[in-house]
Amino acid sequence: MGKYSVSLKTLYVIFLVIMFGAFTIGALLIVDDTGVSRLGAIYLERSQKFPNISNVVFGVYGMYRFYDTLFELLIFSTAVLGITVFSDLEPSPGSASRRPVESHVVSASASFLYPIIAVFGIYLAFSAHLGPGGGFAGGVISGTGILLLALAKGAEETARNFREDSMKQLEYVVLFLALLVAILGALYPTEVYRDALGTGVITLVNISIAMKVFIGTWAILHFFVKHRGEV
Amino acid sequence: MSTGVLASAISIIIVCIGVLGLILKRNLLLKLLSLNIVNTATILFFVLVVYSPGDRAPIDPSPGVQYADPLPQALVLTSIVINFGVLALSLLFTMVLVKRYHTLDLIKIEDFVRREFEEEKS
Amino acid sequence: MTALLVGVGSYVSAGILSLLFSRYRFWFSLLGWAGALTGASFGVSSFLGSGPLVGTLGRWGILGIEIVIDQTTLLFSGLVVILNIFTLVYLRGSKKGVFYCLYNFLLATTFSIAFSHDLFNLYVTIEFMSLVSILLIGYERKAYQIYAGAKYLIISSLAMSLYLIGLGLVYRAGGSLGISELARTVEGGTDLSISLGLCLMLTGLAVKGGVFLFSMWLPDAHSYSDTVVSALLSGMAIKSGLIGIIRVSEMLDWSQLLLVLGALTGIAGAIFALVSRKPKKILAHSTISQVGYILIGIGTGTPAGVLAASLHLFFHGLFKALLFLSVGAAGVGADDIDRARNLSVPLTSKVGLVVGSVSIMAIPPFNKYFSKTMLVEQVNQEWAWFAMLAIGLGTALYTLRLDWALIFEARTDWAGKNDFVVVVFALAVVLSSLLAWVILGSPEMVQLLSLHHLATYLVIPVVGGFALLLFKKKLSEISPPDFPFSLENSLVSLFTGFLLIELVLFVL
Repeated sequence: MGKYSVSLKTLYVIFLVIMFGAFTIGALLIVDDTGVSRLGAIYLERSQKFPNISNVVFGVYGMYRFYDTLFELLIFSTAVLGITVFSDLEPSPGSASRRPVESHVVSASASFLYPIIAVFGIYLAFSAHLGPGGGFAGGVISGTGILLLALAKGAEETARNFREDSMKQLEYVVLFLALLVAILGALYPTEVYRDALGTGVITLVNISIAMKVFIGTWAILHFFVKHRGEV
Repeated sequence: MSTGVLASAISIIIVCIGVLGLILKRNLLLKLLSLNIVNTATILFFVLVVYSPGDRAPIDPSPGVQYADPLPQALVLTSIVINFGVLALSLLFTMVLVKRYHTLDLIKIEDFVRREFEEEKS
Repeated sequence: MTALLVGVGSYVSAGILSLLFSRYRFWFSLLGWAGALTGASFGVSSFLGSGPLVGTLGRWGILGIEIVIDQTTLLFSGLVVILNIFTLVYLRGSKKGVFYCLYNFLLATTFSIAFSHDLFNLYVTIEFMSLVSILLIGYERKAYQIYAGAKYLIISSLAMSLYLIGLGLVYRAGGSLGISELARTVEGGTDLSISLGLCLMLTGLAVKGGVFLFSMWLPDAHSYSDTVVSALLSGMAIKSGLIGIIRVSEMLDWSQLLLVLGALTGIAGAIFALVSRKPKKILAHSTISQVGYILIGIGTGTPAGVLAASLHLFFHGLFKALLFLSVGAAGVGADDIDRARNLSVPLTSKVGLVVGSVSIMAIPPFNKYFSKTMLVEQVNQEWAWFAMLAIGLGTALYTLRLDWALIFEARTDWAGKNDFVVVVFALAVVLSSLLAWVILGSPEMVQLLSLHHLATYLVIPVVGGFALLLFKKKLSEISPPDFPFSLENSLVSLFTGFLLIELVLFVL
């Protein structure tokens, strides 16, 4: 046996996992779902009530279930907060003196590509109610785009350019806005989402979520870039 | 068996592979990688479980056309963000542990941790 | 009904404000508490006006998030509000703004779980609860805290993935996310298809709720963390998983399964608590043991049984938080109770310990007596009754062992570290038995105070005391095993628990 011996525990684990998989796949196969009327159909049907929102997926997470999205934002903020709490952890040796990638291709293409990435992110945030996209996706795209700049110019200098510390305060202000929209939108749905400012509220919320996610993503990425080990 | 059921069964198999890695690997980083596989496959499952072939994207729906169910897609967005948060925080905690003990081997870390807790109070 | 949002909103705002303006963190948190109190009293007035109510958040109708106001909601939100004010005064600005932010977020999400009646909303709020919890567990950055937090995070993330898979199956077969909508579908005859998915969801919730085999992360996380955090996690945070189980069990009849899990959890927790030697470890294992009662209460399947479970959940939150605060205020949480002669415990902590112990042993006029007697009245199976007796005996044993060490053997510290919040909290715990009177009304109370119940609960501690005298030497030779609680083994036991669920539900 030697090399190929498997312990009893491993066999037991494999047995357990197979039981789990068999149970779940069995549940999929046994249940016949033809003719089940689902909530999604009602969402599609009622989407005419809000003609300014043609993306039904946005309607679900941006209007009907914005309370869940509020918690989603809170979760993201908590992750950023966790990173901030631990930000005084000492960086790995040598990472401060590590120089950015010295390549003309990277630095030239970064300064050329970053504006395009940023515009794309902003576009996604602006047009979330019309097509695929959303504040979160836009924010993540712009935030990870900065990673490109950080590779070209060095992480510390990029962080200084973006005034990371003061930006972080802004992130929590967005939560207030989301809270307000969650409560007001639940109480006065048509007024908030269609009549008063109509698409204005939606765009405002999306843009601020994108802003917040952008800052948060960069904060998290910066932390991990700063603390990375020897590459 | 429809395409949706087949695809979601495959994503359950991916979940199982991730779970195996999560339990059997001793390296903490590989455990986190497996956890991420589990979470991603779960998302895949959640989207595919109500999929049927020929669905169109639920944008600007008009009556009489078959659209994909918008609800799982919206919910999945939330759980993607949650997984992002979980990944960030678990990497952070792993990093703190590695800086403290200079190893990724979970069994060694558990040994160190127990010893340190016993020593602190006696 | 949407007025309940005031509670969540004020907690979230208090959290953000105490982070941004950390000088006034105490006052912002106090304002958050006031807001939550307002929200909870809106809930109470609505309940008194129109009884249990299921509705939607806002005016979305069927498209929105379903919420509920019933006795469980009120008891749990009351628990959040009460624990909040006492832990807030206990903290007295001793931590930084970040801690207060996380603290208020934890309260916000637990408050939200109280009235959530939507399967996906439960997922999001519980997930948020666990992320905040792990940051609170690791707040002081000791390596063991970080390890406990990471373990909790990994196990709970896996558990919530299982929950999501189950949710997918339920949505596929039931077509809805609201629990009362789904319950209507179940009545329509698609029982099996939904119950398969609900098994997976139950697994996820059991991991959060402190059920034995599922949540083996709990003893480490609850005993390694800071005092206030332990009190909040044990008293309040794990209850959110149990609230989830209460809500989910509205859809299906799971009495057999929940009774089995409850008996297993109660007895195993009591055994581990009995062989542990550090006060905080004992209390953490005792939390698992007490969860057993709650599961048995849900497993009775009757409305009165579920009410008893909710009442027990409320009372357990109070006295367990009191015990954690007393032990923490004395600073003896991690000491060995066999060497208690060298310790000194302030008088206030001793008062808190006495009140907490008589409550946890269900000695008559104290609060747990009422919830436990209600449970016993509701349980029909004989074996479950014996299981409850065994849990009670185990509880008496480990509580008396802890008390013997910390109250009689340890010196009394008259001058130092006295913390009068603990005494006031103890008074509140004593008074909380009046609440049972309010909820049940006097005829039921007279029934609960009948002679054979009184005799049983007075005899159990006496028997426990004698047993302890006999076995004390033996007990101090045993040291608790660590291996069931390592990350790998807790994951294995999670899936073993899932196998157990499958077996009980579909084979037996």
